[in-house]
Amino acid sequence: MTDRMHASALSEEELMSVAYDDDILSADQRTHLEQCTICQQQLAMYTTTNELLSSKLYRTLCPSAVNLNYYCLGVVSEEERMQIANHLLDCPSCADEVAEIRRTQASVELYPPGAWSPVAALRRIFATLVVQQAQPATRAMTPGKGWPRQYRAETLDLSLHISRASNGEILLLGIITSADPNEPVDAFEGEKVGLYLASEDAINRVPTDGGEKAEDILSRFTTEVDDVGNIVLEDIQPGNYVMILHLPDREVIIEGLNIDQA
Amino acid sequence: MGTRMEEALRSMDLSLLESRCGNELNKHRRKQPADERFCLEIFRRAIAQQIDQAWSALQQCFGEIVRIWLRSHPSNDIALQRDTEENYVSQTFSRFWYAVRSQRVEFSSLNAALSYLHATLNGILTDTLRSQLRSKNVPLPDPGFPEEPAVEDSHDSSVTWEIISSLLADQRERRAAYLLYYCGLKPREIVLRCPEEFVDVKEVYRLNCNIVERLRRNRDRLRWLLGDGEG
Repeated sequence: MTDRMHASALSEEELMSVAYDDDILSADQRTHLEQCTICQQQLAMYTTTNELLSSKLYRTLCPSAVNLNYYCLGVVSEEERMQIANHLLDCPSCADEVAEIRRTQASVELYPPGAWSPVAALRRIFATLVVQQAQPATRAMTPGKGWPRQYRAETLDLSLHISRASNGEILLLGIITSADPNEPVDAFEGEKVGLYLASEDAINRVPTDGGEKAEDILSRFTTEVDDVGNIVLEDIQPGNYVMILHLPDREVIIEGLNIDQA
Repeated sequence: MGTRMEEALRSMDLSLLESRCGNELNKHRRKQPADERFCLEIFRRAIAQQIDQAWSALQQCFGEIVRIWLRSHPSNDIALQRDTEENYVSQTFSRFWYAVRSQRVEFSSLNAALSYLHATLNGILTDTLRSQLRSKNVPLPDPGFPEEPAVEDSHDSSVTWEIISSLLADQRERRAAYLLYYCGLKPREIVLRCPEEFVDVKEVYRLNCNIVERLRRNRDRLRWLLGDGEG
């Protein structure tokens, strides 16, 4: 055992600096520390006590990080806002976290592209227009505007055309078939089909005169596929629509169905 | 929103709402104009009306987004050492539910709702990192074992601080103890972060020595903190 009164013995402050791996010792002091069990014990006590205190006390007086995030978002109560604001004046660690949270909140991508994983994509399939039937050429005609139309979504083929009933009602007729030879013709029997007004049309269609039931605006045009794959939607009003085939393992979405009076 | 459109949304079948919500989220992803009312209606039913099916639909619609936020978080590798991705997503929705339930929050925009959800996840991950830092010097038992330390210690934090404060000589020692142990700053960091309070690192070392000596002299009052050993 070496005497701590030795000329190279470390002061308490110096031992504490070693406890924090802050090497301010001279070569003589390092040699002394290697040989002096008293200094070593003192150092071990400082190290252990610091670790114990840190492990039990670290951030235990701080607001939770969830609450700091809510604070930065401005959704905490006035009382909590004041408490956190006061705490930030005293706590550099929370002040750092708040700065980081604000940076994160300013740059977060709320609709991350990656959220549409292959698994998610399998659930919602956007059908593509594959065949535009020959139409009489007119100057007003633009691709994708005429009827009938044929769409494809993976192995599914969907033909859609517009008809008019004897009373003048517009009918949207479709037939769904599968290119998969393992899928029987009645595979889609009973599956739900919805025809929804595109958003901008839905907003404009809300009646203000009470002449039409409001709930019809969003949910009227639904039907089911019959046993040979036919789809019949009756009494369609002119407008821009989206059709969704609700199949058990996926949804097929057909956009851009513009139906006009003519 | 017009009353009649509101009525229409409120009477809409949940599965159709879910479907439209997914469709509109996809438009958001493609930076196209989207109608967020379908998504907001799911939030409203889940939170204001507390309908279980709507809550499930909400998790179904937004779970994947939460998962991607988690994967893109800069500290996700550290967080995932402590728990699974699935549990973090689940915790996010639980904590979000806890936060919004009491206030019956009705979100006015989908951005607001998603920001709230993202803030919840970000907070949970940061709390996990804090916990990781707290225990970095203490070996961690395997998760789920009985000796696993509780997240919140049973001792009241403010009472502990009052005891520690009462044992220290003056405000300067209290401030140093707070910065060292509660904020986890090292002496040199204290001088760097609080130069108006501490200019000399040796002073911080000296204060630290005094703090340790005083607390150890009173270890009978801080047995849970310092243990029983004589070391």
